[in-house]
Amino acid sequence: MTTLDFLSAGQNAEVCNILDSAIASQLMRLGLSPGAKIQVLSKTPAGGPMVIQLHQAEIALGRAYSKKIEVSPLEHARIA
Amino acid sequence: MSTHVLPDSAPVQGQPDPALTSQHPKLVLAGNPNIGKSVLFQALCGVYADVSNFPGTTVDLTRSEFTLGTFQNPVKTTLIDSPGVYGLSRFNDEERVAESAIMSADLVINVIAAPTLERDLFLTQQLIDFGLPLIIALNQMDALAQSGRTIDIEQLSKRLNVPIIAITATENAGIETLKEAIAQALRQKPKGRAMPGVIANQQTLETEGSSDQLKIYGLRRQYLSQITQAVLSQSAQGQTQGNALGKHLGRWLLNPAIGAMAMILVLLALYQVVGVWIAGDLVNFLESTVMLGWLVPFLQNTIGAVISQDSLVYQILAGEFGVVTLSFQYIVGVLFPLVLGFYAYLSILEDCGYLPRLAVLMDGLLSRVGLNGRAIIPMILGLGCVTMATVSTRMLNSSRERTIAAALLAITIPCSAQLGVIMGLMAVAGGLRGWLLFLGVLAGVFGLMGTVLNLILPGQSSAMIMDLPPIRLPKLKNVAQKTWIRTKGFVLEAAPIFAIGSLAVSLLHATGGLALAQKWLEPVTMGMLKLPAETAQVFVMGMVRRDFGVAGLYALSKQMSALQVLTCLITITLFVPCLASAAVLWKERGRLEAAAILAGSWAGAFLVGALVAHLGALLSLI
Repeated sequence: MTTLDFLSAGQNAEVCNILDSAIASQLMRLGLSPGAKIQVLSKTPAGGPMVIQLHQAEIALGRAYSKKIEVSPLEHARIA
Repeated sequence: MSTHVLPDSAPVQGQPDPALTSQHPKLVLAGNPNIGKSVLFQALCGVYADVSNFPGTTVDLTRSEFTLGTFQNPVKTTLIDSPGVYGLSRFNDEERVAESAIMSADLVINVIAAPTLERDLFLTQQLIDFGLPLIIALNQMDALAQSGRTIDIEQLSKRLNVPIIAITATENAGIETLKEAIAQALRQKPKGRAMPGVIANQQTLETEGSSDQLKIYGLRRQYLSQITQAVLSQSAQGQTQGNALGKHLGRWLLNPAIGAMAMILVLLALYQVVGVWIAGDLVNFLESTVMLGWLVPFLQNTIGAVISQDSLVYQILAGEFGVVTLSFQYIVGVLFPLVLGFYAYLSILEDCGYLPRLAVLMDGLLSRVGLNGRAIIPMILGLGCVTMATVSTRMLNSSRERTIAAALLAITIPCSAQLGVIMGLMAVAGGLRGWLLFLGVLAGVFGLMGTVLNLILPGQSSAMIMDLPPIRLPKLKNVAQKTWIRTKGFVLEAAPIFAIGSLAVSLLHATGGLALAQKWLEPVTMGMLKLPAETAQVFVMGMVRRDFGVAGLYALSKQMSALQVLTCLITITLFVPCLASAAVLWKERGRLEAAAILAGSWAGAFLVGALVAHLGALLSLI
């Protein structure tokens, strides 16, 4: 278990928990809720946003958000 | 048919939104951001609503009369396009606007993008759980087919207990069926099947925000995940890449090195198209050949045939500052081609999906001035029209961010009309060196002002969260339509104001008032800014509209040094925005804040202008 901001581009993961309830309710409306499978598409250097793929959508998340998202990395999973 | 875009329609608490008062039944288009609500709005009622390829294009309510039913038995309704939201809550102004429109609807037309079904269904289920009557328009069926997936529409409709019509709004497919279904739904008011465990006052529970909110959201997501799994299937040959090139391009643009190069290319292309071809070649041709060679003498002769050339009236109409001659020269000869070119370029940028990727790369820089990457969109729109961009700051999350963005826009972002004239004048203001100094000074003021505002304003700015739309080839029809509507709006707004402004200057000139004003302003113009006294008229016109001020410089620039022209350009740019944008600033940010921003821009403009004049001479920068 780690938080999303520690993952690097190309890694897959499953969302376990969102640590802040205000952020959680915003993200859950987008479909980013516990159990969702995601892939990191890019990580902008110097603390910039991360772009993740969730279902068919690409979402840019500021680091303040990705620090609050607990994930467990998936080794060989494929994302639909 | 009528359409009203009401910039003041952010609902004040306790007051009904003026756009929402109508005697006809109200149909409200609701759905997630950037899925084609505005395209559908246009397909349904034929009225253009601003369409772009980034989330948050619609920040306001657009409405139109919309007649359903048969020719013999018409049903009059009011169709309302609302800003895109992921759910009904009040995280920001856009959401408040959307929520109040949706809650007052007689029928909600919930637009869902088929490729992102699971995400979009959250709002759908919420609408159902709140007990709102609705019908679903399942959009982007073409994109779904391209990705090799299918949706069992019949089963989905059965599980939600809501009528669903499959459409592809951009191709006009399914629109007639949808219209029939809407007419039927308006009679039957289908309410859908609430998810298990929903209570009567669900709406207050969720929109007001409570400790149970998160639990309900979680349950709703689980419920929808089951439904999606049951109705969505992948075809046998697996995932085909619909728009593979667009997908790769979109990913590459997120790479900082490639993204930076792309940005430079975009700016260079803009400079080449608008700065060199339009501001240079085309405007020069229009100015010297069409305007001075033909139209102005023609107007002078025509007016001179009626009125004696020595009379005061002739001087006012067609003399050195003649209202008629100057208006034609600047509006038709200079501003119209420039603004048209600018808007066309910006429309292409808006529609191709590049801006949200730029937002990702600019997030780091913008967070230093108390904004996040999303704010790059109002800033870029400001290069087209600051007035329009000020309204679009509603897409930002907090009042604090909107204040910072509105102030930066009003003071440091030159609009298309202004940039166009500046591009033309840069040739006599030091060329490339002039440009670098100009942009450097503006960037400096932007950074300094943003940093200071970020320090003194209370609260904290939000982090970025943004859906990245696919990269697509812009549709020529939309680009042309958008460019034309905006340019027309600009000319209709600017022409009368320009005529009145130049009439004032012309009257001042004829009565000797201008000479007096020039004398009064001498300490500022000649003392502080080291400019010829005549430039006072530039500032007088600049108060009406910044670009008019700059346009007035054209004639004067021949007797000025490069540094003087540059000083003038920088001062005018930082100077008060045009009347229209000052009025919108007032409406959006309130009296006090608007007054503070305007006062700051005056003081700042002359201070920075003086610095440029004195330091520029001292260090002989140009």
